[in-house]
Amino acid sequence: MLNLQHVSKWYNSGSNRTFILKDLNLEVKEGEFVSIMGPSGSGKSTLLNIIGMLDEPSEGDYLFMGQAVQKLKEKHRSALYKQYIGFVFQAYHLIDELTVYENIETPLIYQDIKSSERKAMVADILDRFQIVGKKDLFPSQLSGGQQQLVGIARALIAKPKLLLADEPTGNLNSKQGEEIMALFKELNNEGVAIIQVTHSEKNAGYGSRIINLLDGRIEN
Amino acid sequence: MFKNYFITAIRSLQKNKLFAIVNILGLSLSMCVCLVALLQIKDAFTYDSFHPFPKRSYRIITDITGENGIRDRWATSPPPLADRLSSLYPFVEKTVHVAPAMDEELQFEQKKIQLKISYTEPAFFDIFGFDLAVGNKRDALAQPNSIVLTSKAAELFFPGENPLGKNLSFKNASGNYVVTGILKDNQEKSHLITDAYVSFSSLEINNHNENLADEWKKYSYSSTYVLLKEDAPVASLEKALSTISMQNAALFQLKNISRLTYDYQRLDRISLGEDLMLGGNYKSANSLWIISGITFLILLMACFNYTNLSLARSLSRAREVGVRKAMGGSKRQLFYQFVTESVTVSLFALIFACWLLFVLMKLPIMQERLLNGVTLDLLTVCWFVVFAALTGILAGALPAAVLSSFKPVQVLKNLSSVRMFKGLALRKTLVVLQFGVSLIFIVFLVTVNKQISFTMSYAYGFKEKDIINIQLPDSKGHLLKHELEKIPGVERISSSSDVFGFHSSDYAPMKKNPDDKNGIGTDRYFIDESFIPNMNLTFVAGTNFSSDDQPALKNIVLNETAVKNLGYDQPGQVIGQSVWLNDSTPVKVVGVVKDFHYHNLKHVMGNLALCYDTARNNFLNVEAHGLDKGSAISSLQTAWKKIYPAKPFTYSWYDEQLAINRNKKEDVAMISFLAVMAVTIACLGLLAMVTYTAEIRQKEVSIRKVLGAQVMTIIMLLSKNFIWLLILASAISLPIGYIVSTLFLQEFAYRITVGWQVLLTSVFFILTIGIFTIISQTIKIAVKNPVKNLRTE
Repeated sequence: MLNLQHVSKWYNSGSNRTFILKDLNLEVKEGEFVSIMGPSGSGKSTLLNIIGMLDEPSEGDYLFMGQAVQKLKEKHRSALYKQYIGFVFQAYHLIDELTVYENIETPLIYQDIKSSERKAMVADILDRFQIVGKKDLFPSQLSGGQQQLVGIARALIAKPKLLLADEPTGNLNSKQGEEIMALFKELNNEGVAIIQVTHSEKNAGYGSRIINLLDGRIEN
Repeated sequence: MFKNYFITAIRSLQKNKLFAIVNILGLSLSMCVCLVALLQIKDAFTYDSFHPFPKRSYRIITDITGENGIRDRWATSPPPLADRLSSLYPFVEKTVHVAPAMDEELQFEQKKIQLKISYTEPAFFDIFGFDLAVGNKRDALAQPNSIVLTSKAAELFFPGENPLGKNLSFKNASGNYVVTGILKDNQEKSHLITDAYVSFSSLEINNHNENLADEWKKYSYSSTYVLLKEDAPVASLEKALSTISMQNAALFQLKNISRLTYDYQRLDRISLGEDLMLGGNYKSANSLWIISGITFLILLMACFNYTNLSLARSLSRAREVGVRKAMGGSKRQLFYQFVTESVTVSLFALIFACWLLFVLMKLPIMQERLLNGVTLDLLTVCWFVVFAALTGILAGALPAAVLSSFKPVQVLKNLSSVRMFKGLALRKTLVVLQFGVSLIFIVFLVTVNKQISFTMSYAYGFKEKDIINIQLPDSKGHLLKHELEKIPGVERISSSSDVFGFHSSDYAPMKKNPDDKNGIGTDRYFIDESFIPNMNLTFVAGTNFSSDDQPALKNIVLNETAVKNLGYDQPGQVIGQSVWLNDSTPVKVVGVVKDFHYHNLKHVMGNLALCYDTARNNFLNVEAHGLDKGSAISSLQTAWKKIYPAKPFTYSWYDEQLAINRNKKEDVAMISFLAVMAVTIACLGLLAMVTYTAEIRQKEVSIRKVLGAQVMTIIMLLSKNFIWLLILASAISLPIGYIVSTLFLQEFAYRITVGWQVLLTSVFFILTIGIFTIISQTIKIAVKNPVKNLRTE
């Protein structure tokens, strides 16, 4: 599904070049469930952002579904992203001014999907996540676990092939965390590839593969 | 998608009430002014579009340069021009004369009504789209002494009757005028406004059968309208006009004219065209440009607020941008979203502005001066909405561009690390601009006010107190004078053709010798022997007229300026000398009065000639001492009734009449309104800017306070930068305000100077109001309990 070849990411601060990722190679196949682990500052989030096309590598090639991402025009990259990738954040990042329903609907709007179709899709996912009763509430009226559930629903609404999650349980208590992980496992079984960044060994255990990152390199 | 943008916009506004209120209030205030301007512009476009051939009808313009180099453009042209054009040039289909409308008192039996009348020919109805409700277009204006009334005028004279065939008489012209037609009520607007049209042929008869066909010198006599044949090129008209003007130059030695050419303007482009002498009733492009310019400036200030505040709080929107981008939103989609938001704000503002407009439209002063007959229709409202949308785009485009280009990785990872203050210089510039404009308005306002109080207190040099001016309807003034003299308390009564302090109605060249080529332009007043003592004028040489009639008619009194301009060094030298006024009869100078302001203060001291002529008395000047104002008038009125039982008694106390003339209340009100608006918008903007900036620095303030900073120090810390901006704005706009005000004062021959007091007052005002705004917000942040802030961080 995706392939990173000799990818590096650095920042120039003064005369020094600080590497976040250094000559990193990674292949993820369709349907995999990969957990990225490592200490703070090891480059986990940066790696996830590069995979999610929110960030660009300073050097190296990134192939996604067989296409060289950096060589694509902004428009094509955006289309690729919209079609295949969903994002879940540690801090949920729901839009405060929108209701649960509207938050989940947003990605569909950006994909120019018709209103009637959007309605059906959002209704499906609300049903599936059992949050139909909360659809008219605003994020501030929900608990953290519920907010993250909405966040995941929003990431999944456009039926992505790849779900990227940056410490999805980081702000949740352990019970809520377990529920989210169980949900991830279930999604993975349905064929969605998942890449999550996590600090927790236990959460990492849900995945089929663990990648340990240290100082921008993959440890074997 | 649009609905989603709209919902977000509404919710976001609800969440940020200060932001919403400041912007909606500021925008609606300024938009209201813009709507008035828009209505005026729209109104200007509706003029003269209802005529049958507006695209091939033209009005001829006379372009005259005098010997003094002053160039004037008149909407009128010499009467023979029409004949010359239609007889020699086959491409001309029709021509018509229309004399400029003038006031005339019309009488039917005992009923007298003042109307605007204009003289024209039968072809009038072929070129203009006016219609007759009663009468025949072809011959209504064919015969001399025919008159066509508007239905309004007809209703005034003959309510409920058939006016056709009725006879009217004029105050200033002999003969009876037969009503031959009634104009249909016309909803459409035209540069021609009159209450009645009189046949052009009447003019020649009334003016002692003068032959207008040769009067090439009378270029201000009437306007010439020309209808060209279909597909006749306008260039041929241009060529014909230049040929005629060359023939004119060869044939006629025009007095005081160095150059005369003709020009033309299309009928439907008279409105929104140039300012012309005797041009009629329309708004010129120039005046609309000025109105639009000022209103646009104020609108821009309100837009600055939006731009400025949106940039100031971009930090709080950054996370949303990041999330939306991570959800697949493109830069363009986000740009649209933010622009939708600003358009939403401006549409809300439009609602308020419309409400304000409705309130304003009910005010009589607005009806009279700005919105005369302007109505709101659906199309106009559509234009308003388009205008509001454009305003929203203007205000929101920059912040939308800035916000939509945030990188999601940066804003989602660590908000505080994002360099959000790139626009700081821009925002500061906007604040400086707003306060700069406000200060210019204030300097201007203070100057205008000071000039007006200067003119109010300025002594003209003649007597204004205890004098009642009575307007005379005819030449029976001496009878009235006789009656009035019997009233106890009336000291002295004089008569005059005009009263001082207004325009003089008579202007003539005065020469030292009859053979002099150029005379000096002189304002003439016709008075009796009591007038000079009544006005308390001082003689520097010679004496007043004697009441002896016959020799007095040949005598004249001048002012010092006239004596000097005639070339005498001492006033005494001119006494007993002859001067020539207007014609070849010499008049003898019997006296010279000290210079005084017989005009308003806009004019420099002119040459004044006071001539003895009791036949040309339009006013009686009654000096009444020790009389109670109310009872004085009632006893005067009783006397009036004896002489003029049917005529209204028109009088005014001289000092009050002059005060009204000098006090430009409405102009001051307009400028004050604009100044208040500018200051309000600027302060609203500053208020919100300070609030947001202070909020961003809350954490810093808390830490400083924990480290022991005093409240005063904190206030200074937060306010300092803004106060510097105000000072900078003052420094930049004071010179501009000074220049603008000085230019304005050039209008007045007698004027104040824009002194340092004016500038200081204005700066003091703007700084006080600005600093008050700043401190009111910074103090709130400064006195907050620091623990609260640090805990929530």
